[in-house]
Amino acid sequence: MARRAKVHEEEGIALDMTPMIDCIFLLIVFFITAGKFKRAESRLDAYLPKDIGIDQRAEPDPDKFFISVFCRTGATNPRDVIWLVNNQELFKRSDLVNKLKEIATSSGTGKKIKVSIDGDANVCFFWVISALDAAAEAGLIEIVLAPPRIPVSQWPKPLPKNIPLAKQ
Amino acid sequence: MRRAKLQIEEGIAIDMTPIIDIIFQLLIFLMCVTEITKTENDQRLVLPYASKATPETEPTERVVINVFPKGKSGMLLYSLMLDTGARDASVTVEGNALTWGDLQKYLEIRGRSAKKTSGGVGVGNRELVDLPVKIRGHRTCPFQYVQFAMIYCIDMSYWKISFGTFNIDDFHLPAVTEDYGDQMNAGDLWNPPELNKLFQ
Repeated sequence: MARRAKVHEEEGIALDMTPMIDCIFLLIVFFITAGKFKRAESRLDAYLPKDIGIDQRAEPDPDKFFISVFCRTGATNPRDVIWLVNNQELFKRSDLVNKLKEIATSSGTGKKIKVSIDGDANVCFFWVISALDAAAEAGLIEIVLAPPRIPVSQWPKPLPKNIPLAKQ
Repeated sequence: MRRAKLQIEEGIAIDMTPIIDIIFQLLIFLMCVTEITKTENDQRLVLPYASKATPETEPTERVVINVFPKGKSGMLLYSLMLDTGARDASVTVEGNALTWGDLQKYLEIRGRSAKKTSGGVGVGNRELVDLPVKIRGHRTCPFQYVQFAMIYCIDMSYWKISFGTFNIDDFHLPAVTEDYGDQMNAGDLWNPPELNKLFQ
């Protein structure tokens, strides 16, 4: 009797781990299959004008040199883009970067260069971001997005409360 | 002899502790990194590429607006195929789809407690909200819908705007295949001629 009791003591209490391991494996399989890993993201800063662009009273700032970049959909292919820099048509992103650099250097010193980016209503957002990115690559920091050119009648409802709407 | 019989009855003892440790580590890792609930960054969106964007750091307090184009039938367009018939956009904030009016209210409520600076004459000297807003627009979303999101930001006196982008380096990775980033419609990838044009 004494010998049998000693053997039991050595063995200890036997815990059946199988159900727990089963559950944990099921959880792992669930997380692996159902989970989606986050993609690394970046961000491009572009501030909205503090004085809203629709305001008619704003005087052009003499200390600032403005470059206007307009993104337009291609004439034949709506997926395509034409960038207009001060009304000059450009078709490649590298040309856009070079043009922005050229204008920035020829604008003279003493003036802050401000880039205004605008786009056609139907142009892909992708191309507007490309213009923003090109301006950043050209070393231009002060980038402002122009107010929309879409008629107020086509704006989503309800209409904004605090924006002084221009008369159509 | 008696001892030998006892050993046979007991079998070979396998120490399960390390395997359980590793499994628990795996479990904790997967629970931490996977996205169970809907977070502010909607992972269905395919963002535009940018080379000069600032890497995203740990987010501080901010508002994230996701903008999807919406097709004629009202379905969201996750694919990279440009649908020129996009009639509207769907805006999601913190995993919830909002109407434009709801977005207006949401921005108003969030802006109440945020830090403010004084605005210019053009806005009637009203206070501007310093809370940053990140707009995440789908790559093929018509620009007007992103502009609408911006209109409501202006409306509610937000001015610190940034746009969500993917890193351009991802494009050069060998792992980038034709169906990269677009599980819904692999064949409709933004095709190489446009991308070549971008990287010229």
